[in-house]
Amino acid sequence: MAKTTRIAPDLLDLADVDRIVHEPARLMILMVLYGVESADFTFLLNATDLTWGNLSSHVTKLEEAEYVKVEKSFVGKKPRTMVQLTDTGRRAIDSYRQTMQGAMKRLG
Amino acid sequence: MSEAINLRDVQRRTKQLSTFEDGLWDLLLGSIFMLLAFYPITRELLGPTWNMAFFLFLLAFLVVGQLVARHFISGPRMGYVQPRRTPQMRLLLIVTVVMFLLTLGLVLLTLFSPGWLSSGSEPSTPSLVRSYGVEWIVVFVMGGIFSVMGYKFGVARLYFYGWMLGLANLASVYMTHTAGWTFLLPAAIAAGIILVIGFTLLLRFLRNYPIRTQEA
Repeated sequence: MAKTTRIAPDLLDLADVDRIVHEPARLMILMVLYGVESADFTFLLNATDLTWGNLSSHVTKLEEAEYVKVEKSFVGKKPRTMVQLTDTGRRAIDSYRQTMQGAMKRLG
Repeated sequence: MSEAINLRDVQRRTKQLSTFEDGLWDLLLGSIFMLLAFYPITRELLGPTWNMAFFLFLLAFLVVGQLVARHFISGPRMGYVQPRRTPQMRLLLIVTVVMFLLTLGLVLLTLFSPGWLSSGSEPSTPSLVRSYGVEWIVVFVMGGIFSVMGYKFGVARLYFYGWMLGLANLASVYMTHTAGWTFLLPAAIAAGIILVIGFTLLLRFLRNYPIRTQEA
């Protein structure tokens, strides 16, 4: 007897979506970084409207997944944290976009 | 998600935030055209050579001043961003700089040429459109360049700036040739409008983007 699938097979792709990228706050961070070489924390705060704590925790998660690279430096006496998208991160976004676009197309 | 995320819109917004949000770009543009409005007056005082040197000095001062202001005023509030250096972005930057310099050069030539370029001095051509062919070209070049920039960066006021500055240039040349005006009032009015917009944007920027003290 053939096994029945409860959800439409076309939507099964969505189950495989990258959950690191899929989270809205992280998606915003990645999208901003996608268009630039690198950005500091202050710029990311303004671009995403997240709080320091939120941004910091999401960037840490992205760093752990090796989607972004974080570099801390000092400009004069002031600390500056620059965040840069890695090649892995860029590929993850491209793959995420393809998956989502495909799913949305099928949904009509 | 209620709507599709358009990556181009995100990039456009990033560019807006990093370049046009603080009003400093507007202040620079307005100041340059204000200098041009006073150019004939200072030329009468200083002579053509010294006046050009004075103009270039002030231009350099304005550009450096804008960079310094961006570093000390915008940077700590808006944050620092390094633009992505794709071949497309490099080309866009080169085209923008070249077109801006070309526009500035055209404006200088039409305003202060000895007569061989600007046909407005020819009394035999009665129509404003026919007489001021070069100036009309400047109107369309400026309108076109600023419109492309406005579209590319998603900054609507650039459309207005381009056409306004182009028409102000035409009006300035016309008034110089017909009424003998030394002070380029139309250019000064256009520059003044841009300066007011720039100051308003800067004040809004200072209010909306306070310096953040905590670092990650």
